[in-house]
Amino acid sequence: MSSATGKAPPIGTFHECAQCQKKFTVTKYTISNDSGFLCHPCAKSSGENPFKKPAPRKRKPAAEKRTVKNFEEVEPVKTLTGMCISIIGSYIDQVEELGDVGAVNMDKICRIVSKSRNLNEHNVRLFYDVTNTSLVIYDSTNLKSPAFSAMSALNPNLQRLTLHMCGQMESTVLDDWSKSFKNLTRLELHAPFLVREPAWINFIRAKGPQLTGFLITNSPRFTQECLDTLVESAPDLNELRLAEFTKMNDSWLEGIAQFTSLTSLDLSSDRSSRISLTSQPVIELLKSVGRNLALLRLDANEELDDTMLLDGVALHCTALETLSMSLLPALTDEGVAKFFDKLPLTNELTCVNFSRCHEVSSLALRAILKHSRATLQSLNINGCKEVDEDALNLIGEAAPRLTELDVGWCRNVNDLVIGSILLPKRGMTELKTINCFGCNRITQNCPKKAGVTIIGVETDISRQRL
Amino acid sequence: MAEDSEQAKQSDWVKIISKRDGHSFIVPRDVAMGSGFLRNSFNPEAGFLEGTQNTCEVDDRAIIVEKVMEYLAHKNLYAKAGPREEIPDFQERIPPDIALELLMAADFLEA
Repeated sequence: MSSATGKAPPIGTFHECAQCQKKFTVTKYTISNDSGFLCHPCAKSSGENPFKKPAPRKRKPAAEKRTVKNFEEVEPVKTLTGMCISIIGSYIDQVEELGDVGAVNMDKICRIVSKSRNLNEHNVRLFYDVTNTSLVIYDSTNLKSPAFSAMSALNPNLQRLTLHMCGQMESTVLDDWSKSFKNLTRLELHAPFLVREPAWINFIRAKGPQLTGFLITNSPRFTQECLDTLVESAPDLNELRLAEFTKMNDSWLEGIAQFTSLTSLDLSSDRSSRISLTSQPVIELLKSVGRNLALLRLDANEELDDTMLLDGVALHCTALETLSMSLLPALTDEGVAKFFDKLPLTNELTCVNFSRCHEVSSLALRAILKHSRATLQSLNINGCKEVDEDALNLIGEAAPRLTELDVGWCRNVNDLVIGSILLPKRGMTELKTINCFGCNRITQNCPKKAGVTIIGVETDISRQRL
Repeated sequence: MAEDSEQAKQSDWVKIISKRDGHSFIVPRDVAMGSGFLRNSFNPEAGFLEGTQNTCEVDDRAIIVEKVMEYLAHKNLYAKAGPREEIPDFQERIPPDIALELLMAADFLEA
């Protein structure tokens, strides 16, 4: 302890007690009274406890070091759409209460309910009807197998059925369907991946003879044997889609070639399996079925090359209206150009899709426009990044009936190109939508026109409160 | 300069007109902003005519538009409610016989 506290003499020294005059050693517990310092016994007898600690200094209460925010779930105001859907859900059994259902477009309602992921087995009944001949469900994610089976009981007269996202559909559903759906002619399923091979075979055997359209996307369990059964049971099939089938390969094409009445064929691939159809077998297939095809789609079969187009499609297809050859990186600009020069004009193409074929460029675009100028309504060259400005400027002039255009990621698209498309020299166009994502030469001065939706202009991002 | 005069035209109130019945509804701008569609229409930067004229036409019956405006007012009032405030249920104020049409309108207007 420092010596100069001012009060007590240094610790360890001798001092005289003020009361009894005896000498004692000063410690830090030495207490004084008015006259002087006391020795330990006198201090005790005077009542003062030398060992008493000084009264603790009053501290400020320790400030809260952590500010804990009380996080309570704030329930935001419910959306009007959500509330309407709840109301509809609760009035399913008294549909008359919902007003004039005839005046309302039920398909639109189905889209809205699906879009907000609110479609479930309860409110889906709103769209069922004994007299329905056609039914489209845009999001069947929440429907389980019993709901799918019930669908056939509640819509017995269906002719056309389309179900998107039917991931929970199991084999039992197809078994039940093979005993009902007396009038079914066209079945379109997206992602029925749980359905197993025996169920497919059983269903196809039962319903094949009455089917004109069999369109399935994304089924890893559909085997070649299923296909053979289909060939056997439905030889007059018009519409066939076996898209994103991981088991599909060239050997299937021989079977498919037997569907000589095909008007629509979609064999797009599932890129994840890395299996692609190859050109030669596809050419053989087209020899057999190409004649009547109005729609041909072979997207994402990455090994297909120019020969498939030149020796397959150009030689054997005479009635094409929709041609989709997207994501085929082996196609070349000259190849595609030569193809369109060679393709007979009896193919009055309304819809052409060469998106994400990176080599496809100006020569091909000019050839497309030359071939299909009179009939083209929808053109998609998204990802054909090298197409030059001159070719792009031709689009407005060359295709007066164009309603939909996708030039996303075509780097040479700029304000002038958009202008030439919107306002061709010859007058008005029928254009409704332009997609130009990734075209960074378009500025905010991009021309606009009433009635035309232009999506993907980068300077618009600031206007969208994302 | 043009932008200044456009900004000057922005008023506190906007008008929503029902194309089918001709009824018009005048609501505060904040209330209309509760609808995604109206927010974009009235945004002066977006370049739509509605932005300068503060008027927007909607292709719905007047009853439906009225209910949507009622909802937007409700939403505006309770949007900033604290966690303990009781928000009255708007759902009971929707008569079921307009539910389907109202759903289509609500979806279109992004309400």
